[in-house]
Amino acid sequence: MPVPDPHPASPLALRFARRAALRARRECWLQLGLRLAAGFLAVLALAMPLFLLGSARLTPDWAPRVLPLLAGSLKAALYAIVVAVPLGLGAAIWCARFAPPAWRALLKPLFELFEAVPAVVLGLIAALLLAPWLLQHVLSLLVFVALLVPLMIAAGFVWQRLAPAVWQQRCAGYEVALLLAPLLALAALSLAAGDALAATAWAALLQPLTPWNGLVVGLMLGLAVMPTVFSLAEDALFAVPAELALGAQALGATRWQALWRLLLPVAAPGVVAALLLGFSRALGETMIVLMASGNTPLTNVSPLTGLRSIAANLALEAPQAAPGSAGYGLLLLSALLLFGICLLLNLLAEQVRGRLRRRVAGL
Amino acid sequence: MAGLCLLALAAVLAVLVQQAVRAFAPVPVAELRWRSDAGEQQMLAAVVFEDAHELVVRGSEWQRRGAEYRRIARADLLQLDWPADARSLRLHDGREIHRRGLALPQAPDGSRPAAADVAEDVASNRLSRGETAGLMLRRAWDFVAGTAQGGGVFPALVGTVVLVLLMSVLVMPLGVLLALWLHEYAGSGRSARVLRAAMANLAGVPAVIYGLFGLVLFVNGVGGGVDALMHSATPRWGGGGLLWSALTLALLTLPVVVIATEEGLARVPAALRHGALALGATRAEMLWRVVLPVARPALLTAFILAVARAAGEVAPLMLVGAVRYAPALPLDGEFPYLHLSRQFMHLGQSVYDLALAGGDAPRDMAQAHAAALLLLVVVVGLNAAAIVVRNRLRERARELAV
Repeated sequence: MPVPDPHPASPLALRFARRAALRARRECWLQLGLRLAAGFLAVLALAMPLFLLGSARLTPDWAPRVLPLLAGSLKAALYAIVVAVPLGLGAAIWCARFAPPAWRALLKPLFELFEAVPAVVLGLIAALLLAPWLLQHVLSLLVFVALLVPLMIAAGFVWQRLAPAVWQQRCAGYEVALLLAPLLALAALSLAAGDALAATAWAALLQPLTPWNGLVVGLMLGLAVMPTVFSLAEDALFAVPAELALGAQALGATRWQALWRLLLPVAAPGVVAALLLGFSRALGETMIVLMASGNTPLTNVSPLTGLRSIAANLALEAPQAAPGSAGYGLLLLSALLLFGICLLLNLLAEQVRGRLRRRVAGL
Repeated sequence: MAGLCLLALAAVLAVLVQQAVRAFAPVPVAELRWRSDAGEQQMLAAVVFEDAHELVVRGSEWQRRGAEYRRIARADLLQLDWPADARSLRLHDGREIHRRGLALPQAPDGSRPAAADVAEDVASNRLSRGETAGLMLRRAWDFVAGTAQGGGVFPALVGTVVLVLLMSVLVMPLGVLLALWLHEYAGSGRSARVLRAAMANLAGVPAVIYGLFGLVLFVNGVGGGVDALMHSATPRWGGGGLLWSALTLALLTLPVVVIATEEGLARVPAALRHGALALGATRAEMLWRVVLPVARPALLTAFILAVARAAGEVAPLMLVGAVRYAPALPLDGEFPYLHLSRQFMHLGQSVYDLALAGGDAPRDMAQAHAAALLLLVVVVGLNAAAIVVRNRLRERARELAV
């Protein structure tokens, strides 16, 4: 039996009450959605290593099958870092400290774009163009690299001592553009020198055994991770207050001394983090190594022989491996190894960056 | 050093363009006579490569594409001239046939190609510059819009686009929710710190590991389970497919979306939030009506970055569903229109396959470079768009903050 309500709510109040209930419900739904999303992330972060761990299997012959792959990965990443660090760090130092602001504003996004170049494109160029070219011109590359630093020092010396002061003033900040001509000249010279040296005994010693070797991988992989190294190192160097360098210069230090003795040590954690993350990225990079390394599981450090990395091996063998077989278990074991190393490097880099942040905040 | 980096990358681009153009340039046709072990031979063939020591020529491909390459040493060459009436026919399936004069040529077994099969008929040795340019443009268009048998990348392009769209449909809601949780709700508690660290580390996991994870979890785990449940004789969901690839890529791009969205949320001025709350909005209304609309360019940036990252990734797709040749597109006019369990072709995968596993090396390599150039243009264009949008966003955030 319905009880008559002595004070019926007005329709307007009822509407307000309904509306308030709806709003409260929406609030609840949003909270729930956000919690679910966070839970999903937690599950995902846990599930990834656990799934790899769950299916990985340690067969008695794991060592001879996995260790050469690990050696290949480390070799490729090592050569990549050897190429990427001088390029990326040099570019970062110049960009953060010496470049005119307009150039910096242009260069930063440009390097971000280069970071986005698909690895398969770089791998294609490495495998089809760089590899056959390098097979014939290893000596030219050697000459070029050997003469690069002396050339730069000499160019700087000549410019400092011999160029008229008016020229120096007019080109202040834009000296880099002047290096272009000597660089091109050096490239031409080293090409000619490499061809001339090709007949000597050295050439036979340095002749790569296969077009797809560690050198090609190192060069292209280095080019691929260079933007990573660049942007992290540049951020670290740019975060150091300019007053530090200016103070040092006011006290009589040259720009070089201020950079070498002051800025780099202060920004060292950031630079080390850049190196670690670059190494981690090079370890995990698949397509370039897959296409340009020849995929022969060798365990040596020579840049003139091929290699087979964990990542490339995964891409080659995982699609065909039968779930549950021993080979599948070993694949997952190698993936777990790669995952662990990358995780370790990333955590380490994060720690080191935290130190940089504290140090810069202290200044 | 920066100069050296830029030089190296400019060289990469220049080489790519130069190689890609070779895929479309018309090849001159020569009448050749040379000595071989089997005596004197004569042939009408396209000269693909020529240097001081040897020629590489391609004769009429009556049997199949790429079967008629020949390497002839200069020393063996008796006669080489370029007849003005030489023409090359290109058939719809990518084969090329050379002839002199206008009559349709006859195959060694007596058959003739039907006029309907002929896609292109060019007087190779008599092209003016304008005609060459027109021909190259037409061939480039055929390459982009053509089928896989005729040497086009259209199926791969469709596969890539469908894949990244499906991926962004999956990843965007989740990524935005996660960013909202991390930025608006989580605060600096312990669970939030742990999840932030997990996010940073997920961003650093190699892409191929995501692929393997997708293979283990989606393809072999979920897909295999569904197949077993439905008692299907042939693996339908238990093989690589579009849905599994999209899910894998969604996991891969999740950190990208979250980081970009969080950056955008951080740029929304606190005054706006406080104002909305002070006017009686609930938190959900504040986020939905005020914060998200202001952060819309950041969402766009996140979307573009995720798409660019996904479009350029190949390694994980090799494990979970991209194949060298798929007989059907993943999107067509048959119900249910979008075929989630189908294998598909991908632009990056095509680059890899054309370069290293093609049956017709010289042409496939040139085409691999063209496909790579296309991929590069798509990915770099998307990233450039993201950078422009982000810079606009920064300017607007500065205006709002003043």
